[in-house]
Parts: sequence; C-alpha cells; structure tokens
Amino acid sequence: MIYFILLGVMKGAIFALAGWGFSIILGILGIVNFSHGIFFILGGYLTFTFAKAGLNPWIAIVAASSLVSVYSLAIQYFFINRVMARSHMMVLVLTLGLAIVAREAMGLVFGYNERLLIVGGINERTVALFGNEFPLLEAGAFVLSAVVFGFFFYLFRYTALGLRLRAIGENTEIARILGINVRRNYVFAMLLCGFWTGLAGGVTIFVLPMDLHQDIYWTVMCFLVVIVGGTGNLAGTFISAILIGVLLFLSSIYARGYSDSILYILLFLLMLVKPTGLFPSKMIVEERK
Amino acid sequence: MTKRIKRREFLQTAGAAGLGMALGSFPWKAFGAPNKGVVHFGGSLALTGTYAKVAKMYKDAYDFYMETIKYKMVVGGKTYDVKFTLYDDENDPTKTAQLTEKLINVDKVDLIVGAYGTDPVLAQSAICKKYNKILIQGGAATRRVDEEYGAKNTFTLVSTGDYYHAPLIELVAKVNPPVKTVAIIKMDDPIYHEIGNAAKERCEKAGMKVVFEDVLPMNTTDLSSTVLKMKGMQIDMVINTGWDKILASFVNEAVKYKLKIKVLDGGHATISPFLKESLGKRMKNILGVTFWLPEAKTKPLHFKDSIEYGAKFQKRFGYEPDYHVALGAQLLELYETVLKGANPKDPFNTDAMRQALLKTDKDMIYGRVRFNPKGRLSTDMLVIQWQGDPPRPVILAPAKNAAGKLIYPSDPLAG
Repeated sequence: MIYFILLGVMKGAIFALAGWGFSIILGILGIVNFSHGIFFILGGYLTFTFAKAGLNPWIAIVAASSLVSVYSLAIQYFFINRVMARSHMMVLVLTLGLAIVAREAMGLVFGYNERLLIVGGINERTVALFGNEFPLLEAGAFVLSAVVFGFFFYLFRYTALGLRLRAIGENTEIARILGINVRRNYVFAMLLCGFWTGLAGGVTIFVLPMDLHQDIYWTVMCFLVVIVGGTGNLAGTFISAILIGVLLFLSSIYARGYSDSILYILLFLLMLVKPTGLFPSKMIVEERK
Repeated sequence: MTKRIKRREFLQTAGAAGLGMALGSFPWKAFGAPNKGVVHFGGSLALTGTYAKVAKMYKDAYDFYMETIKYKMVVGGKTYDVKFTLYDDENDPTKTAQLTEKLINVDKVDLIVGAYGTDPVLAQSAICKKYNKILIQGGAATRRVDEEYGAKNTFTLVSTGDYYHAPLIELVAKVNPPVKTVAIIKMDDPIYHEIGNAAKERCEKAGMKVVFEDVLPMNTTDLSSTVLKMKGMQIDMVINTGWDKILASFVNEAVKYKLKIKVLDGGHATISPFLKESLGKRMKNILGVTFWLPEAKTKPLHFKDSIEYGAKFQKRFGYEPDYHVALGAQLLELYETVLKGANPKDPFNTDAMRQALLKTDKDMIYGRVRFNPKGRLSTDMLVIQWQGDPPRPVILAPAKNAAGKLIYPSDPLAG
C-alpha cells in the first residue's frame, strides 16, 4: 500500500508539472486557457521528433519546451492580448478555437499516429528508495517538479519579474497605474507557462502513449488540479496534484473503472464544503469575505 | 371574344401533359446504365478526431485504388469513369446517417463503402436498409451487424470479434511447456467485451485458466497498475484485446516493472505502424493476429501479388500498408468484381448485387473471399510473431501462409 501511495505521489508530480502553467495563467491573467493541453501535447510530440532525429533525449525535451514557449508567446501576443481587454468570455472561446486549430494542424504536420518514446534504456531504469524499486522517470518527474516549484517560489518572491506578475495578478489597474507594462508581462507569463507545460509533455512522452486528442484530458486535469488546490496558490497546486495522483493510482489498483467517478464525486464534495479549494490564496479568500 | 376549347382537344392536351410529366418523373437512373457513364462511389470516414489515423489508411487505400485503375471501371462489359465522394463523419453515428442520406439523395451515389466503428456502421446500415442499397463494410466486427442487416443490405469483411484470438489460442494450446495461466486486458466497450469474453472461453476450452481480467476505461493510457497487479500472480500468457496504445503502454510498463511471462498476445492491432515506431526491438517475440499482411501473398485484382501491392503502396504513401489498407482495397475490388458481370441495363440492382456477393468465391487482395449466409466474410485470420533483428512480423498460421515457426519458450518482454 505504501509503495502504491509513493508511486501515486510520483505520478501526481506530472500533474503538478503540467498544472503550474495553468495556475499561473489563471492567477495572473485571470483566464481559463482551453489550449493549455495543446502546450503539453506539442511538448511531447516535439520531444519525440527531436529524439528520433538523434538528439539527446534530455536536450530534446529542453528544445521542445523552448519551441512550445515560442508558440505560447505567439498566441498570447497575436491573439489573447488583443481579445482579453474586451471580454474574458471571448478569451475562453478563442483558446478553445485555438486548441481545435492547433490539434488539426499538428495532425497534418505529425500525422495521426500516437507517440511513445522509448530510447536508450531510460524507460526501464529504476531507482531504489525505501527498500523498493521505483521507475526512474516517475521518480525524476517528482524531483523535477520539486525543482520547478523552487524556481517559481524564487521567481515570484525575489525577482522583479515575479513581483510585477504578482502585482498584475492582485490588481491589474493599479499595476498599470504604477507603470507596469501589463500586456508585455502577460506575454512573459504565457512564455513561462508554455515552457513548463511543454516540458511536462516532454517527460510524459517517455511514460505514457500520447495522442493528439489527449489535449482536452490534460486541460481538464490541470483545471481540476488548480481548482482543488485553490486558484492562485502554487503550493496548493503542487499538493493537489499529488493528492489527485495518489487518488487516481490507488483507485486504478483497487477500483479500476471507477477512478474518474471517485475523483469527480470527491471534487463535488470538496466544492460543497470548501468552494475556494484546499489552499486558496489570501486574495481569493478576502474577495469572498 | 374567347375561343371555346372542345372536349376532345382538352383531353388530348391534358393526356399529353400527363404523359410528359410521368415520363419526366420516372426514375430512369434506377433502371438504367450508370448516370452519364460515371460510376459514383460514396462513403464517410472519421477523417478528423480519434479515429483519424485509421480513416487515413482507408482513404489512402481508396485513393491508391482509384489511381491504379486510372478512375475507370468495367460495368457489364462497358468502361465507365469512376468518381468518389468521401465525407468526414467525425465518428459520429448521427452525422454518418445524415451524410449517408445526403450521398444517396443529393449526390446520387451508385455504391456505398463502409464507415469505421461499430456505431457509425450501424447507422449507415440503417440508412442503406431504408433506401435498399448495398453496403460493404470492414469497420464493425460486432455481431449486431449480422443480426440486423447481414446479407440483406450489409456485407462485412472482418470476422466477428469473438473469432479474433481463436487461431492464436489454438496455436498456443499446443506448446510445450504448456501455457497454464492467462490474463486478459479488455477495454470497457461492448465490442472489446465481446472479443475478451470469447478469448476467455476459448482459453478455458483449451485447458488454460484465466486468472486475471482487467477492464480498462476507454481513456486509459497508463497500464502500470495492471502490470503491478499481474506481478503478484503467476501468469504465463497475457492477451490484449484492445487498441495498439494499450499494448504499447503494457509493454513499456511490464519492462519497467520486470514482469515475466511466456507469451504476449498483442491482439489484432499488433502490426500497427505506431507500435513498430514506438516499441522497435521490443516487439520481438510478441504474437498477434491480423486479417492481412503483404507476406500472405494474396492476389489483388490489379497487382501480381500482395507483396507487389504492399511495395507500391509504401512507395506512394510512405508507410507499410496494414489490414485496414487491404480492407479499403478489398471493398472496391468486390464492387468491381460484381459490376464487371452485372447486367449492363441495370448494373446497380440491389437484389442482383446481393446475389452476386453471396455467390462470390474468389482469391483477391484479402485472400479467399466468400460470405456466409449472414453476409460475413468467412476467412482465416493470420497468426504472426515478431521475429528477427530488427523484428518483422512472421506468419505462423494458417499453414498455407506460414513463413516461420513459433519461437517458444521466449521472453516477449526481453527485447
């Protein structure tokens, strides 16, 4: 049981990696990005393409994530920035449309076959922890997500960019009055989101078969992780991702077929008891007061 | 001053007008030769969405066929141009039904080719039944097609799901040391339950014990919990009755968690290009079943043999054709064969086509093609094993197609 819980923790770390970008965009831009899952899938497909072309798999992940961040930057600059000033509802429709177009475009570029990357024995390596063997990739994903969490903690607490982003998230109008270029910082936020989500996809392509239509699943899962953790709270996102990972994995062991039902029933109960999520940011709690 | 029309003149005029209208509205096309010397094929596939990769194979097969025959076909002794209208049904049965109605009523197609997936094919069959049109399909294995439409309107080119693993289980039942325990992976969908339950029954009849069954929700891609549950058991053979990505994930996780088994039956999707690309050398020793392989040396209508067909198809589209491609070609070969001997005055007569299809017994791209009274293809599935370095599928059964022998005992997860 402890072994399964630890495996669930490691699997949850992938949700955290994928979910942080979503959390940042929701917290700072205040939008639900329905094309978030595309960043994830694009990261996976590009990693696969680069690695199959002979690039070192780790470099392939970074190269793919960088390209995804360029893509995310472009859609923020050319599309979302232009629409979000008018209506947030329109952004929702826009990102949904962007996801559909991107999915079909990826089909034309990459073809419609699924992808699973098996190279250099990485997939089968294990590490010994607490007297048990754990898959290296899943354990690595946990370590990576802890590192990424540290990066975000530092960024938002100690850097000028982080402070600007937080200020925008707290109150866009006041940030603008203080001379912060809001639109440019939106682009930075989306770039960060694209990079880390692409990286999550790059790691996942070694672990799970991926297809072009899974973007919807990953968008929904990231949304769920952020809602359960409490919007605007990165630590909450991390804990929520881990909890959901453990829950899904344990239910796949003990109640296969009911995993999704169990997850959504618990979500429903949580929303009844604590609608702000498990760890809401102070801002949201104050808003509700 | 008005001229009064005589009663005789009125009756003559009215009679002429009535005859003209009757002649004009008479369905000449239904009783005549192909419209303007063109044979019009029509169908729909899920060209976008989850099944787009399979739909593309069918579409490539149709395109390749049309290019091969140079868009010309002999109908009742005369050569006609061929036209093909293909719509995207997005794997939506409602849309499939609407598109099939449009094909019949608006596009006025002469012949209909099958969609992909159980529900779209059932929807298409219902429309074809309504308009008394023949449908040849290879996209739905379920028995429901036979029960509701079989041989009345719908002819099916794939075996029923309950037959899928039969020849492989028959082969494995004879090995020494014997396979005693079996685990079955099923997807939570009626057709996969049909396939899985039949495999279980056949294993038990062959003296093997099914000790574990895992039913996966349709969106599952992570097989780690399946593998971990199997690890605590003594399992000799694992049967995958689901998609290729289920097999890919299973192999990936089984190698990771060092699962030991003697036989892995990857199922009917074992020769998918995705598996070959992703698993590579890990395909070695994996068994599977398929309806077709170029190496089966079948006889396509327009090629020397299936090897030549496979090579030319690969040169044209850049990938090795699998049984979906052969199915697409087989649909058109069947129509072409039936039309060749059709009555030139009424070549698309549904009753005549039905009788011709039921009488068909001919070697074609798919092997020997003949239908049972329910309009279902009666043919042997091929049992293959991935052998060699790099691994290639080698046909083990039936004996007439066999190109190698089963390598056993072997570790299918050692690659």
